[in-house]
Amino acid sequence: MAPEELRQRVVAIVGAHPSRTRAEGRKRALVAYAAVSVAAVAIFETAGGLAHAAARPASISSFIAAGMALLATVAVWAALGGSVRGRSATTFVAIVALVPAATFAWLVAWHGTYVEPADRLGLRCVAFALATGGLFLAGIVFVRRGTVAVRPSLEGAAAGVASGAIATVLVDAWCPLTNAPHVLHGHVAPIAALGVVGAACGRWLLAVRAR
Amino acid sequence: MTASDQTLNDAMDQYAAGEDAAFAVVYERLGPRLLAFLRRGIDDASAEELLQQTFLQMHLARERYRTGLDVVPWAFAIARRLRIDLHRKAGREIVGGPGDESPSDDPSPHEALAAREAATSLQRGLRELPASQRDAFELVKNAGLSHAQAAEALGTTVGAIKVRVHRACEALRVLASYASGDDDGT
Repeated sequence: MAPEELRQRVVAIVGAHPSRTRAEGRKRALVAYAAVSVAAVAIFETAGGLAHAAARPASISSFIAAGMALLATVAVWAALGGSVRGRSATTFVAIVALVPAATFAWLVAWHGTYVEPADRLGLRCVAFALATGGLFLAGIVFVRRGTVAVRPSLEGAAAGVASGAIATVLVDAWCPLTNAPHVLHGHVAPIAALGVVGAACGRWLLAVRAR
Repeated sequence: MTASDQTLNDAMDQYAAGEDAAFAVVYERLGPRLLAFLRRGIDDASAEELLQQTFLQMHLARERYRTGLDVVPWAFAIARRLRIDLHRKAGREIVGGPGDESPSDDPSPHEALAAREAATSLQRGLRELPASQRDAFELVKNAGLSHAQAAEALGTTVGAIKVRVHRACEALRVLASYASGDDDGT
């Protein structure tokens, strides 16, 4: 094919597929993440909201939520920043390894500072975290689908873990337990599970694919 | 980063902001380089199809382009991924094919034969390299990316790219020595 003919074909195929500009993309992402956040808060309220953790002193609940919110913010910034090429592999691996570990350390550090109202395995926490974290991950996949050219699985895994961290902010505000077995099973395991789901989503949904 | 790459980045920035006319500059700066890269190992028609797909993917993802980002590694990363997809689907060899032969300016029959043998030898050598070394070699030596750009395109470090390219060159040199009958391979 002659160079000019090829150029015209490229222009034609590009012209046949409408795409969002940067401003339009930002607006769409904002709407998507806002909708996902509203849905997650709705799940939180349906499950009982802050009243469910009333057995824990409010000051401790506030500190736990603030610490978890900070961790989630850093995780989201690290996982989703870095423009269209994403972060380095080292950053993604660090997110996947450190966020669950930091979550566990932060929550268990509060064990013993108050009388825990029950001793449960944490199945409801798992369901809550997977439901809300899954929503956030779905939002990320919706916004970034088909645009990741480098390390899609790793970026997906990091996005999954970051989604789990956001979900854990809500779970920790809802669940008053901080003993190690419960935290490991009910709060940390879902983050890891979302990381695995995120890796699969990265490979099959985030990665660039021919159309 | 060269002045040409900076012009390309500026054009992509304008295109991401909604100035559709800037796409012509993006294509002009990137198209020939990408096509030369894509032609290695596949027929011309497939390479041209992949080129169209690469620009389509850049077009669809332009909303995520941020000011200051080096476009070249991003574009080559997309092209490479699409080529890998094509090979997976078609079960083809990654290197070796009609598109690998470099045109020359009316060489004599003897020169043409020698050039063809050298190209064949190079392709055979490339085929035997580990994928990581082959990718690094192709991006740096064939496509003309800097080590930093190749590192970004492949998602690794500059040091790793230098090592891979060096090892690829060494392996190809040894293979070329054997092919020319120099058995000591040094």
